[in-house]
Amino acid sequence: MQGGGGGRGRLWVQGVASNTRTQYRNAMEEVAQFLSVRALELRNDEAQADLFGRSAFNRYYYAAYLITRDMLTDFDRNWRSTPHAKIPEILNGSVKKPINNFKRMVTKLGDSESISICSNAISGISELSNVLVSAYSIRVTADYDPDVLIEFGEGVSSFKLRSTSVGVARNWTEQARFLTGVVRRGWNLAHGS
Amino acid sequence: MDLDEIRREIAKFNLPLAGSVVPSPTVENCVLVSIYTIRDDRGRRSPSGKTLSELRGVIASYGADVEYLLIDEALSELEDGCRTSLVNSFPDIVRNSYTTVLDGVANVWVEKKRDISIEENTKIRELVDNISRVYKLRGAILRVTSDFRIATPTEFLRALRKIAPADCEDLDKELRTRNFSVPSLQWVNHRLDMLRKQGLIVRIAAGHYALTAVALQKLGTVKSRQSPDVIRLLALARRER
Repeated sequence: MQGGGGGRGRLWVQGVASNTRTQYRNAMEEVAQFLSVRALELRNDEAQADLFGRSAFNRYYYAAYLITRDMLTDFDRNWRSTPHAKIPEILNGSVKKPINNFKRMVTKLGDSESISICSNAISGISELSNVLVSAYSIRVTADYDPDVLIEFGEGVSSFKLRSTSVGVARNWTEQARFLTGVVRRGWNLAHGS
Repeated sequence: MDLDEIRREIAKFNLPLAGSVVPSPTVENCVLVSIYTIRDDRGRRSPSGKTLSELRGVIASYGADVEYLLIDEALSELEDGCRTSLVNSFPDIVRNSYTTVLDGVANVWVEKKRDISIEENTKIRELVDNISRVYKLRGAILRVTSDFRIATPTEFLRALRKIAPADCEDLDKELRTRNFSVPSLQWVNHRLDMLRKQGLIVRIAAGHYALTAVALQKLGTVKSRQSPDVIRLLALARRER
């Protein structure tokens, strides 16, 4: 696996586990979607709808978090146990630094394609970090601020938690998926040999 | 840092919070406040910079700093609008698109299905600029990515460094072993020609190529299990068998 490093045993574990990880993440999104639909169905029962709705936000956050954690684990298995709140620090520090260093090297080489990939990766790291920070903040509200209730809009297809719509939460996983792809490309480029 | 007190002070400002006030994950003694913002017809943002500055002063009196994450709710339409416009306008080029806005500037990511010409890139650029004008943004940055891996010149040089001296077919095989997409042997030839003109590779007899000293020096090396020198030695040893 390009840029993955590590011994044969680690590559084998990654190869077998990756499908399982993907299935688990997809299942997480399905659960989030189910909870969203159920919250809307129960909108006339405030207490029940609130419970299902805030759980949906929680699951959407975890789906995005797991996508990011999988990427970090592939880079360095020690990062698997990084606390949630520290992930942006890892992204903006240990992940960004080698890509930045590599970008300086390929600038001297005059390789505009590699420079572009590195620039995209560096920008992707910042954006991914912002997505996770924002999503984590909502998840904290969902899990620890029961006094802040889900609000249902005029239409029947959406609800919000602290002004963040469930549609925005649903986008977190797609954003994480897109951005981790960009970051992976930069990381693999910087760590190739 | 008394987080509960800070949260009470923030609540007095009646800001449209987009999430709980939490400690910043990257800065000590700092809180992260996510706020939804709106813009009026003249593009002025609410809450204003003055309000945010006042709040910063209040939080500072508790010995803490603040990071603001400002989210423009109306711009959540921008991402959908941008994606729909790009995919429908360039259906054979754009596989997917994703947009964020930071400080009034849109970052528009486009995932392409195939290589695109300068003219096509310009047309996509024009559409992105038009969309940012419609949403009254200060500007837009276009970032193009792809879901296929084409070796960059540096990755191409790395592959050649391992197996030199090598011809087109050798390189084609090595690049595919490294999980790169190789459009054609003609593409490989074109890359070799480009790198030769840049003085980074040299043509040896019988259509084989190797890196120049300049390229080796610029690529550098690392002292680790991934050292290209070790990889090169192992490749030579296998060839000798």
